[in-house]
Amino acid sequence: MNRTPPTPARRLQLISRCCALVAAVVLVILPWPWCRVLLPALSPYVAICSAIASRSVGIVTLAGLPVLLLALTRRRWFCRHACPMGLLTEQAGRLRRLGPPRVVRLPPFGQWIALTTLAGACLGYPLLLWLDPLALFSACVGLFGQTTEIARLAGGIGLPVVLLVSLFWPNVWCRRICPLGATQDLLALSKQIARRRQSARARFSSVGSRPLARRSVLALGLGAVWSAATLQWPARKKCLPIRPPGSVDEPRFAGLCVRCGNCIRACPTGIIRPDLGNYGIAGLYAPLIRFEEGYCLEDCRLCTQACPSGAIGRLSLEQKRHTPIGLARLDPAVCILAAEDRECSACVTICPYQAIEIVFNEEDYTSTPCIDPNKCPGCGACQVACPTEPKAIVIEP
Amino acid sequence: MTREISRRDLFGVLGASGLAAAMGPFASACRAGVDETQKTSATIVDGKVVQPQRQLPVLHKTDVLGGGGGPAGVAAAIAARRTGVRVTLVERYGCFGGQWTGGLVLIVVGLYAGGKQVTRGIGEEIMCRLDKLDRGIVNHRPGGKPTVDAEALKYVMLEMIREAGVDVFLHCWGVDAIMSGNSVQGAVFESKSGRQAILANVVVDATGDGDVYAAAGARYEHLKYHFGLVSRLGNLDKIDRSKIGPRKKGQKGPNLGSITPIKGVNWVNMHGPNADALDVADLTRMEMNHRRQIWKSVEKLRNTPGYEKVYLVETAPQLGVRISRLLAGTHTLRFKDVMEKRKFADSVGVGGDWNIKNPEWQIPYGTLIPKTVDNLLAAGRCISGEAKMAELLRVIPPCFVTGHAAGVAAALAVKDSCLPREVDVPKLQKILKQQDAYLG
Ligand SMILES: Cc1cc2nc3c(=O)[nH]c(=O)nc-3n(C[C@H](O)[C@H](O)[C@H](O)COP(=O)(O)OP(=O)(O)OC[C@H]3O[C@@H](n4cnc5c(N)ncnc54)[C@H](O)[C@@H]3O)c2cc1C
Ligand code: SF4
Ligand code: SF4
Repeated sequence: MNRTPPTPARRLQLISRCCALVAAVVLVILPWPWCRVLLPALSPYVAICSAIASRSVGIVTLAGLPVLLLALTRRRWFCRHACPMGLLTEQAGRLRRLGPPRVVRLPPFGQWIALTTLAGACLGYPLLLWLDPLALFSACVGLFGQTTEIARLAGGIGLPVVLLVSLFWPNVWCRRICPLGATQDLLALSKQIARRRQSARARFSSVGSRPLARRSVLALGLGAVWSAATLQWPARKKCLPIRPPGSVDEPRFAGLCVRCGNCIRACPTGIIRPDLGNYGIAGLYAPLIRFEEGYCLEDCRLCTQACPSGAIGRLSLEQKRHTPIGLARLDPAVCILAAEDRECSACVTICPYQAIEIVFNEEDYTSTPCIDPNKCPGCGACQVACPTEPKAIVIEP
Repeated sequence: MTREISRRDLFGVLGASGLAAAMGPFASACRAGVDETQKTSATIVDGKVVQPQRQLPVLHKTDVLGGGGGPAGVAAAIAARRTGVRVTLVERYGCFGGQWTGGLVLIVVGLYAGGKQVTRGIGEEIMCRLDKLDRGIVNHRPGGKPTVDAEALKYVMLEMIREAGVDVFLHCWGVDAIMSGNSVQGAVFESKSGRQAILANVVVDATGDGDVYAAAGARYEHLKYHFGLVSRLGNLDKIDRSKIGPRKKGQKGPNLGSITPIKGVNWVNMHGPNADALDVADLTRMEMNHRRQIWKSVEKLRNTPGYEKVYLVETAPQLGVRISRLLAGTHTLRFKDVMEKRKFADSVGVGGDWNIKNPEWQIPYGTLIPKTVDNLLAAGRCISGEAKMAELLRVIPPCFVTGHAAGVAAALAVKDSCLPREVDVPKLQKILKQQDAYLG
């Protein structure tokens, strides 16, 4: 390892990275969703793949543009000057001074990951988007002071794992695994290739170019097959999960979601929970809605402002109120009003959208709550309020 | 001949407004000083039935007049009396308790919020008195939903009213307010003694339907709400289980209602359809349909093997009207305020939760005060709240709470010679607390 005192340029670089780390932490822990969005959204890996997968370019996607342009002009500029994960892994590598650093020969996994995900994105399912370092960083740092729940803490495991890897094999993450680093490499390479074609002069040796071409074809093929398989799989499942309002369709959601945990933290009623694999492996740790204590508030749209990848679309309050996340369904055999004529209309009282009406049947004198599907966005207030156990009224996707 | 026609017409008018239903003698003796010679029959003038202008005998003068003897009216009368003024309570039927007794709505829900008892005061006192009676009340324990026996409750309420020294007129139907400008001076009642006036310094409208404030010209919201008819079933302890086959999972048996303090007797609720409780045609239709339905369903039950011995003990003497009018008060309670736990400086009581796990909610004094009419306070299920609040407002505990508050406030207005809206609220709150009310 180089033990000579750092040059002024390197010192400057260190300072800028430290500042970037502090800025990243501040962005993640500030209470406003738009701040938290910014960090994962800066990644061109996330920006490109999510724009392709969602077939749209939103304001959040544009946040990735500066880093993308920098990557074209200055190779791995972001890694060297700004990446908080890079700084942390480098420091983790330094901790292990015992013995010479182990050199591992590994294929460039990062490029495989990036290309496979890109191919998946073209089919609408960006496979490994969640491996983005900024998303892993957000997911972990954002948990501080938020929860003591094991299930939720486990969602932040990415960053510690990367650091652990770096402790044993310094630089392996940045050089060989990180899809964001690889995306920058690929961008720089593609520019070189393009330029070479243009000038029609082979200034660079073709070393690296041919394996790259082969790798690209293979990785893209793999990504296409893999995502196509995943897209088919959940369709066979009987029950779909309930996702936050404005989410893209299943199973694209499971791919687009980078698992940064922003929406989970944004939700003031705590109804967004990480999926612990109840709906298949594809959606592991993606956000789900569970109506246990709270419901989706009629005057809140925080989660829709918190998503950096476009898995949850940005909605105005008016749009959110008309975007169904599910639909309330009544089981008249369980409902104490419909089945026993007891003094209950909790669901009607609580419904913020006036979507439930009690319909009286002259014949058998029963009174049954009926839900208007045009009014009910599936906010879950009725499910929470219903006094029966199991609930007579539940939200179904 | 003319006279006969007019008599019949008059009877028709009386019947149409339900007045003919008020029967029986007064509970307290009243003066028979009516001028018999004064001719007051209605006549037909140009094909229209008109009532000649006439002078009304004054039956009684009082400080605080309570109209309606349901949970709210009884609480108001006792509270006002305990605050040290003369009180008169007038009820259209022959007993106190309103829906709680006459309506056979025996269960009390909404005493608690988050496990804490939030409605206390006179209502709790009544239930404690019932505890001492044999078969007076069940489930009166922390966290429970007490269920009373209607007869025991009628007795206890009458005794408490008597002990408090409240003047009582039963079988008296409040039909009009006596006004001087915007200010209420008393109310007009119809009874077997005819049309009479009771003069009062302050009137508390606890009729459930806001009959007095409507007559006084106060503004209100008129709601069509569901109403039913409650009944009681007997011999439920004689059901022959051996004849009832095993039930499939999730399959429910016939609806047998909920327990009462009397063994083998349950009360059965009825939700019923929406109708207008201020329209005598609707009231009649509901009463007739509901009775037939109850008979049919009991018949069906008795034809079910195992249930042959079950019988209909009674249907409620009073139709189960839940909501008709909601006052436009100086403060209108909003559901949003409840859910957002809003606090009010002029809180005069607290309501609890039932079914929806809403937090405890403060009831501001302004919900009892009409916007424009003076010397009048509302109490019970007809106070000021938006329609969405009706479900929370109308259950028995908050009716007690608002009755209690209105009673003390009315007495304070009399003692301090001010309008109810000018009552010293901190003083009102202090007295309420001394009388064991919880204000949040
Ligand atoms: C079917 C049904 C089920 C219910 N279930 C429950 C329940 O499970 N738990 C619960 O806590 N609550 C329940 N309630 C609500 C509760 O019983 C009533 O809302 C409550 O009793 C209202 O009290 P109140 O004093 O305001 O009015 P009321 O109880 O209606 O009393 C009003 C009194 O005023 C008298 N009156 C009316 N008009 C006049 C007039 N013009 N002149 C003189 N006297 C008049 C009436 O005769 C009556 O005695 C139910 C109500 C109904 C109808
Ligand atoms: S989910 Fe229930 S409470 Fe929410 S809008 Fe639908 S019916 Fe109303
Ligand atoms: S809250 Fe539940 S039990 Fe009550 S009426 Fe609605 S569905 Fe039925």
